[in-house]
Amino acid sequence: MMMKEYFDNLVDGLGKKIQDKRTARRMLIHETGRLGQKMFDSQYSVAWTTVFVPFEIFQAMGVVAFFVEFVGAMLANAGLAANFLQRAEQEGFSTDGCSYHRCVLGAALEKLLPDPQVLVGATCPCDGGLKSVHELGHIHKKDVFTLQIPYEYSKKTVQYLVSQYREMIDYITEKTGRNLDIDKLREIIRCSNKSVELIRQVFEMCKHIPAPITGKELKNFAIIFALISSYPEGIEVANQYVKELEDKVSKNIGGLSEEKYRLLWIQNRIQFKNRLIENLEERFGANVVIDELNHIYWDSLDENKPLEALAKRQILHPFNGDLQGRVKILKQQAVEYKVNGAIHPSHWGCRQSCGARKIFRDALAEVGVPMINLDVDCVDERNFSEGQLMTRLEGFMEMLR
Amino acid sequence: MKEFIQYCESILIQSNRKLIGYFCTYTPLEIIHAAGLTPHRIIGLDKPVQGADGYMHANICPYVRSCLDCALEGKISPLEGVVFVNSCDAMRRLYNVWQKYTPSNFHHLIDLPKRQGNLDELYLKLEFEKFRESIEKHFSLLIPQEVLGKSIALYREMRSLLKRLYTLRQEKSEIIKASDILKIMNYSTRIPPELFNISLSSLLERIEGTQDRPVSKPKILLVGSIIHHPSIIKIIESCGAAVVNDDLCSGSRIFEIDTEIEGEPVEVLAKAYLHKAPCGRMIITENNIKRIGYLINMYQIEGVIHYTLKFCDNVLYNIPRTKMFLNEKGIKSLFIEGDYTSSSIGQVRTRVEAFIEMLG
Repeated sequence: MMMKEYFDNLVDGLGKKIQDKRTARRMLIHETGRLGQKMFDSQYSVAWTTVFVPFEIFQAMGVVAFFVEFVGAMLANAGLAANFLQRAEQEGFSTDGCSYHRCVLGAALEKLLPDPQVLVGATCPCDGGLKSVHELGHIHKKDVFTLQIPYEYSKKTVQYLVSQYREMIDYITEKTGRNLDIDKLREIIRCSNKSVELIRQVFEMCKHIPAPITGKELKNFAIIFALISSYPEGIEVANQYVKELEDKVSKNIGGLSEEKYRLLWIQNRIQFKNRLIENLEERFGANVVIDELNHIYWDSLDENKPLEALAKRQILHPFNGDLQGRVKILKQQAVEYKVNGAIHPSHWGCRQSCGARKIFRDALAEVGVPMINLDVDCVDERNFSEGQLMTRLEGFMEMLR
Repeated sequence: MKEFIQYCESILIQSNRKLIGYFCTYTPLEIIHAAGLTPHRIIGLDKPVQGADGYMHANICPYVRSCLDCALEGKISPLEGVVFVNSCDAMRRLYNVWQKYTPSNFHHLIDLPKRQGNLDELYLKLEFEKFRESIEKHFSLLIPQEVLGKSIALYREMRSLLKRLYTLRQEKSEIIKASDILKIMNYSTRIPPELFNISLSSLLERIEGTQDRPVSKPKILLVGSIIHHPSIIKIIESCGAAVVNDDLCSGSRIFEIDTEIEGEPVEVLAKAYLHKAPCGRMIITENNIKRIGYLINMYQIEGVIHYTLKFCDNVLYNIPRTKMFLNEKGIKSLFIEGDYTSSSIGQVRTRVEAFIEMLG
């Protein structure tokens, strides 16, 4: 099975590289690969989910959970997305939908995905994600559990979501025979709190001028780290990041040899191989010092009320509820990281982000940060024109001078 | 029919009512009406989007962008406020953009669950209560329970009349054209029910007493998202077919809401709206397909035309399973994506003509 081979090769390859030289990035990807291998280990049950779900609950029940967009990103990175996108199109899924989701549907139709016991979709961040998990349920002939994330945060809405978590736990038990071990959940939350505190330090260090890490090294960081943050290995990875960056900051060594511009990247990175970031780094000394998705917006989780804490975190996610939450964070990041400009890839099919692009631009303009919209598909490279996009970025960088 | 339409037009141009704009059929119109305000569904322009693309990406729902164009161009009747429902990503963003860039005093967003269990009924009840309180606070008024109860009864009556209209259209398809039905449905979303109900009731009585000369035509079910402009329906009719029913947010999903006669009013509304005829945004695709199946059986449908707006993820994701269902049932179908306007109607005409010819 292709996915198993992918994870096995990833773990083997990176395992050897880590023996040569232990780096935080290698460790991050290595641990993610090891988690992926667990999907094929009969000790664990498998869950496919949307991107923002309480992974801690799954872990506490012995369920390995991956978000479906991971598959799209993985296939795009391997240069294989086009085949699966085509398969989804043949099935009748519209080419106007998000390619992360279409890619995973194509992969499922080609029986690439390990058969899940559990499918959980949340209403945040988007309709397409939830719909695609439901379609996966249809393809795999499995029931899907939906989490309705309330729009506003209040005591009542936390209780509403906690009640849904309890229903979800019952659903997982019914499908897998596994029960929630509440002490294990508390331990997992302690672990998550520790690793996240370390990562907060990492991002704090990215505020240093020059930033001690490059945009390339930070690609997809937080959304991948979320998968392992509640494992002891996640703490090890976080510790390594802190160690590496502390060393660089103490010696005033930047991720780039000469950092001339600092950039904020909004939402999705482009997942297939391309040289946009490298070109920005090499030709302009422009470093993506912070991604919107690398922001830790929540306080330490209260292990004594684990479900309430997880519910609060999920409701307060910047991609949930009022857009002002997200706008506030973008402005805060722009100021605190002293960025010169922001890049917003208007990922084709991403309604919740593309629909807000003028609001983002105007908000960042209020803090003196210009923003460029790039019309791009982050997973489907069939229509990708690096030259055209680079021309636009060149124009943008000229403006920043 | 002409008189009825003229009457509705005359009501619409009266300027003495306080209008609350809305978009989605999950909006609790009864609460607006009980506040002494008139719900006024915002219908986009029948022309390509212009200004809105500077605010939202062109790959956002064309209905949403068209409504935004209306607001930016000042082509909406003067509104006291607008109520949004968190029905989809596009509508959620419209709420943000509308608040920021259009001159409007009162905005409210109702968070509509996609799940339909007991927990979700309670949640929607809370949301409807919040909406009621928001109107009361902004407009400095109170909505007493008995007044809300009366509004619920009025809208129940309206829906019952619209159901009667839909039943009549089966028997009197030469008198009640689908393009007229579309107009009537549009009026139902903009005219106070106390005026609309009397006039529609009178129209239905006249039609019931009329002899029709039924002509054998292929019976079409029109399903999908929203159609506000009649061009596609007129094409279907001009090709010699009859649209005998629909499953649209601008059609039967407006009235397929059953409010109970007894019960606490807001609770009654929450239950009724959550369980009404679902649009694609309600997450259980099987329910949408079941409804299509029911309508096919009930009305001896020979062909289904599925019209959806481009970029409408909630409906587009349902298409593969809907196609499979129709194929298995042996029902011929045509799937069209449109931009909400008549501008691409030439291409649509060719496909519809070929489809109806195929139905024989």
